[in-house]
Amino acid sequence: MTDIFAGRPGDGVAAGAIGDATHIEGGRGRRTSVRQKLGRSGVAALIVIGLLVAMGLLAPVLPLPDPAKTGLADRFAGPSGRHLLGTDSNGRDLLSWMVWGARSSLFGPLIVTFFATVVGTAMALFASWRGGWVDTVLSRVFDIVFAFPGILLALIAAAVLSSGQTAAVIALSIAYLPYVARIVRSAALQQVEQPYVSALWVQGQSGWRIASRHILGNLSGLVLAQTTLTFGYSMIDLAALSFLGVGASQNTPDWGVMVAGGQSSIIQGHPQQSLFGGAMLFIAVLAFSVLGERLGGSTRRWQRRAG
Amino acid sequence: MLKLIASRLLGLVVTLLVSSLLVFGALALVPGDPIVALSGGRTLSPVARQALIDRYHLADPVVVRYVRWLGDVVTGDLGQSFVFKSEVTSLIGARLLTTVMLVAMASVLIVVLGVGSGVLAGTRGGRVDTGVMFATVIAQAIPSFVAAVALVAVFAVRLPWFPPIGSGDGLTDRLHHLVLPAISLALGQTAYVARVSRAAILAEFDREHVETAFARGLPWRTVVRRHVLRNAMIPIITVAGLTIAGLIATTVVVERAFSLNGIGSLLVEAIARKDFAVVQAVALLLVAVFVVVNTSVDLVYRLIDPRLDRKGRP
Amino acid sequence: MTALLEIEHLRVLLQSDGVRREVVRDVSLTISAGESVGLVGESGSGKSMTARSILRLLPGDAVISGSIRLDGREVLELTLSELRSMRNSDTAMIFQDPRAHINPLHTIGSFLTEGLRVNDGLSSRAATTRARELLDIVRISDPDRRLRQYPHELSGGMLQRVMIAAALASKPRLLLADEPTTALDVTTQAEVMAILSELRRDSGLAILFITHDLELAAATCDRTAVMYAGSIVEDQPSEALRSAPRHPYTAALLASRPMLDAPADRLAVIAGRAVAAFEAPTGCAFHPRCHHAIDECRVMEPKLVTTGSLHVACLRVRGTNGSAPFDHHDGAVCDE
Repeated sequence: MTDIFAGRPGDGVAAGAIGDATHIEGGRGRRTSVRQKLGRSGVAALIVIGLLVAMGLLAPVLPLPDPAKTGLADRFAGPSGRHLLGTDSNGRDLLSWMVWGARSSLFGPLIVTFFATVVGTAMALFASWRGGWVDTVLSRVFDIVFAFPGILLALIAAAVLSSGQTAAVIALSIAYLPYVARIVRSAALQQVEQPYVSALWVQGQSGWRIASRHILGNLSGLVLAQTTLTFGYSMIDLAALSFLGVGASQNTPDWGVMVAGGQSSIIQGHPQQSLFGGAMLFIAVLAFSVLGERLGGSTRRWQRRAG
Repeated sequence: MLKLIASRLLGLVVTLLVSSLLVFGALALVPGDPIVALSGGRTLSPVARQALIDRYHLADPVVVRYVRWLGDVVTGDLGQSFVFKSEVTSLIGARLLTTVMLVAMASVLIVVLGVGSGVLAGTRGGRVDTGVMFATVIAQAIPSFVAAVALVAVFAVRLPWFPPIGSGDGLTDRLHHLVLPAISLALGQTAYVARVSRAAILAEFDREHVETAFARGLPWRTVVRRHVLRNAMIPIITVAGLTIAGLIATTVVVERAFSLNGIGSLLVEAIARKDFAVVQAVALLLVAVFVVVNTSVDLVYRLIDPRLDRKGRP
Repeated sequence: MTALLEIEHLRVLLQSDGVRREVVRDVSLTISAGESVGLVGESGSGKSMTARSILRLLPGDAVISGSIRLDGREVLELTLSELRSMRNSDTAMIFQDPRAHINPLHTIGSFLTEGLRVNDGLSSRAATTRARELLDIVRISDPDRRLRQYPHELSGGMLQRVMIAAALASKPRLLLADEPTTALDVTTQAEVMAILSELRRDSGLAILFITHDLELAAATCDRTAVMYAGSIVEDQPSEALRSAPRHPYTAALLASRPMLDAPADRLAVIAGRAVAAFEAPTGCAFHPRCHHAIDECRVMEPKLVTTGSLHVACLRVRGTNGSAPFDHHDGAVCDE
């Protein structure tokens, strides 16, 4: 058995393992089993996410030292029976902060993702269905929002509304809207062209029904994948804002705050606080990225033209 | 072609105007007396008060204020920082170099390492491909400030190769100081660009015109150079350009992580200290740069693809 | 006539998502020097893959078995550089969609001269001269202007002629034409066909003409071979095929064509849909759709049997597949 296509590199050798980054799949109704679709990496990612969520939810009932409790005598302690992973620059238990931090670090992104996805998808469906000037106006509005990088928007919001998670979350929700809307819109526009839509319309189904039930149904996989990725990105942005001191307050257990708080200690030779906080962020973002890509999402954040 | 440039410029101006409106509007919404905000809450003499009112047109209705502010900006008057007690323009001027150098270094990394590894992965396949894919997934998951912290811990503290903070003096010293920051800034984007480049290459291999080239007996190297790379470069460069534009936002974080006296850290400090004149000016500047770079990339992309006719329609 | 190309029991499997699928089951075909052979089939029949196999233009993970001999040399065993040399000077291929198959970022001149400059080492000047000659052969006027233009500035028909011109650049002896006229309107189709037959007359070029249009193949080629589900089911001189098709599938294809001069209220269709090799049922691949199928057709796979210039793979054609003497049926032409 022979053949070489003149040495062209083998297709799909690596793409299968981690997931191809740029083509949009999802939602075409294929009946592959969930496990098959996710692959080993996807399942692992899902498990990690589950653990993180569990960590956050169960924090109050877990037998951990109070994260707020400082002990200046105890600073930079190594791992011990009392502090399983040691303490930070203020003597606070590191493991506690890592576990409790899940609440703050995961909750913000949840709100941002929810809002951006729900409103973004609704707007995209509306724009693609109506077309015409509605579509044009909405696209222009999105273009304007696109002009503001998410963090910048959040910083401006912080200046106006004063710092805090709330301002950051609101700003980021608005900043992420166009990303979701853009992708859903171009997919929806393709759907609207399909014969089944005209068929349903002729049958008398209302535009609302067609859009929400049928079109959205076909796009559900895409939306889900995009949501997962949005979660990861908003997590990075929110953590960055916490790091800058503009997000979560300094005393809330939060991974971004951990990294910031431990910065001065690094030079003194105690990088644990920052590194453990950073590690948690890394693991969380990695899990969401891998899952998002396995589900077929696109990492094409900067796709400003829809297609 | 002129028509295309004109229409894009028009779009640019409109976007800038609307953005400026938003920046101005946001800050105009700040609760409280603007005079208090602009003076940092200090008590002022009536003369000083009046000076402030004149400078910032506070006596005028909001709309007029906006227009006059815009006029000031365009003529170079960005207001005065009460915190630093100097003109905002000179504040920005002093810090501009650091940020520009940082972004430039990061851009070089992104283009050389990102595009390079993506192209390698796409053309070589096999283990190189797997390696690049793996590395990019990891790298994309590391937020810039986490990278900063880790890099400092390893390369500045453990191994005293680089300074952990500060921007340095003089060209070589500055470059030395900016290595770790540049890497932190570029890491995630380099990974992203690598993936996009790889995908573009792979997509190009599947194109029919590449099949034609092989069918004619052209050697592999020639086909890759003249047909795969050549065609894939258009989307790759576009993405690289847009990515560099996106660095604007992340410099803020990296500058803070390394205590660099750049524009980003200026913004953060100003927000913390409620120095609104500075916030307004810097925010506007960053948005403007972002929009201008994006528009330029878009223009360049349309100009180098002969398929798109000069009006911008394929 | 000497055989230029001999394909024997070609079998091709393609891989996707880890699954191997047979797309060409059993193809045996001979093309003599200067002969034009039409290869007809519906989508999924494997005709395009067969053509690409001749040039080994398949994905890296495809699996081929069988034999393909060009001038007696086994193509499947050629080294890469020998293969490239063959692709450059002995064979040439033109494709269905010229707009997709020509790099939009290079000028027409660049496209035409590429092979000459890179493979044959011609100078720019010599290559351009040749390019002008080629444009003349395919009847494109104002060559200097055309050479400077980009593909998007030319019409589909003109681009197809450019593609033909480029194929002729290194004076090949065998031209593989994969549905060259399918994407064109009828008038342009006729022009392109005229150019192709002129080429045959003038340079003794052998052509493998792939199409789904049986009428077109039978009208323009010396011989016509019909493919179904990855195998050749009938192969005859075109005249004979048109007047006396032996395989039920061929007959059905001919019968389903709407006639201008005969009244009809319903078009005759073949029930069911065409299958690819890997979707074929056991026994004869065509049996579910065949009016003449008998029990044995469900179980036994007919082999291609040669009688003179006729090759046919059908259990029911007399004297073929000799295992059981079925009925007196002389072949497919029946009063249906």
